[in-house]
Amino acid sequence: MNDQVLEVRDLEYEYVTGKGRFRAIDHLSFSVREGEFVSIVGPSGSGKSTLLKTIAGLLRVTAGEIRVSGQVLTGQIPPQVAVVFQDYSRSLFPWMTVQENVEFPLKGKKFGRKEAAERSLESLVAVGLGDALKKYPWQLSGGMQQRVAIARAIAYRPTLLLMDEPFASVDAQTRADLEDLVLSIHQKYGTTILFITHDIDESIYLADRVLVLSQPPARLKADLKVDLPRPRHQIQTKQMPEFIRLRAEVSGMILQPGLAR
Amino acid sequence: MELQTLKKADRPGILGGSARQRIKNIGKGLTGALVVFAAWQFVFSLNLVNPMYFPSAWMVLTHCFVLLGEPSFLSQILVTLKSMFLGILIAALIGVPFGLLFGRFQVAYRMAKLLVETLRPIPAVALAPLAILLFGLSDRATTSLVVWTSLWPILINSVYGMHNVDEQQVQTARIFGFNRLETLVRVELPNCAPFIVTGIRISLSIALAVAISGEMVAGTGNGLGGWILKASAAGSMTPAYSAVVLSGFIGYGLNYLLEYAERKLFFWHASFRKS
Repeated sequence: MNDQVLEVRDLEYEYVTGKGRFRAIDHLSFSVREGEFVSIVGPSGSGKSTLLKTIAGLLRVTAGEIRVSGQVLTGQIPPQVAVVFQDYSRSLFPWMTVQENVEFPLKGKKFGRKEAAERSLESLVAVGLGDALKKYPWQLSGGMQQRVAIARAIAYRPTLLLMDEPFASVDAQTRADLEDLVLSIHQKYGTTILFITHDIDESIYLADRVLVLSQPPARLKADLKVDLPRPRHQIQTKQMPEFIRLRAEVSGMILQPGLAR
Repeated sequence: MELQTLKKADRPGILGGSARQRIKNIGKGLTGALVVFAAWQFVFSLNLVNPMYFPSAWMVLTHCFVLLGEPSFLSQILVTLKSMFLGILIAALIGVPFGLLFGRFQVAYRMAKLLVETLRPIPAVALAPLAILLFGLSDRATTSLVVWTSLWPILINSVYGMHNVDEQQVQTARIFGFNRLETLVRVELPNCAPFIVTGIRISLSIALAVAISGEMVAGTGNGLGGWILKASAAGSMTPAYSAVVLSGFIGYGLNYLLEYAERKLFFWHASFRKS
């Protein structure tokens, strides 16, 4: 029980608009163990990002309970949680260099200037940006900017890393590279990762477990174990019968043939 | 390619674009000034008006250099600049915090909006009698008018800056454990800074005009305004016009300096980026 980094129990989230109250998340329960890589996949508008924001402490839950490292969230931001957002250009700070961006969460915390510099350098080398320290984020390509965001997150050494469709706005080749980068980081640092995506292949390829969400209000449709060997391989892994079986299973739950033309 | 060039030439601030473009733009600007100068000189040569009241462009321009050599005149420039900068400083000290507050909290903004939009169009000179009543005929009266004028562009740009802060940047800082005050200082303020400085730059040119007018109506005969008034009262129109022309140059120079500072400081901002 103690190695649960994240526990979500009977989570409900409702928001109010001009037209009334809407339930985005309905009685959702799951947990993530330390070191686990869990992806959450669901149809667009299924409240995936809302879920991530409640876990990050940015939104207050309507009912239920979220525990991060055993501590119940009651409106506070959980310590040692990092987030990588989809829109890298909006989460990096344009007035800071790449290195300053990565050091940003470290400075003024328990790290001295020197240790912050060492950590940021190490993280940037780990994402393959050891030679871009003095550049500004807006001078880099989209994929490189997302690498900076990932470096910033791992330099922080989070107990839980939340990733919100991080590769949805990069091209296919870059996406594959970044997926493998995240896998290598997961292996190297043993980071617990909760990865939100709407891409079924991506959710299976990366994770130890895939949580499938329903149409809104989001409920847990399935909690599938991914029994694929690591390290994963973009071509070979995706040819394995187990991968193909899982893809069919998840697709069946998410795609609704009745709605297709 | 042609379109690109046109765009660059149209960019605000003659320093936009390449060095060649810059020189071209300066050339165009000088041409415009020269045309007006020649027209003035031509009208003068027609002898339609008494040269006592309407000196030639050449006389006015050359007298500018005479004035720049006179310490008594230069000290009057300093008096005006002091009223102006002090006024802008006070306006910034009031306008920035309130602007950030109104920008951050929608309720405060709604409460303030009607008042601000009603007060903003009131010209400073209309408030001169009030300023004289409060501060007497003094530099302080002038400064208070500058504060009034400069306050609005600074306030409104600060509000605008705050509205432009990306929510995701704020969330990022919050998730990384920065509290609200730290987030304000480290994320929201840097985002607002370019807007605030633009507000100050907009204030600058109006502030100079108001400082000079203030010195004319509420002053003690000091400053550029007082000096121009005294010169014209004494019938020395050439020096009076020269002082007017020089105040224009001062305004141009200050704007130029601030635009330069903006580009250097806020090179990272989307409106200044080079790549």
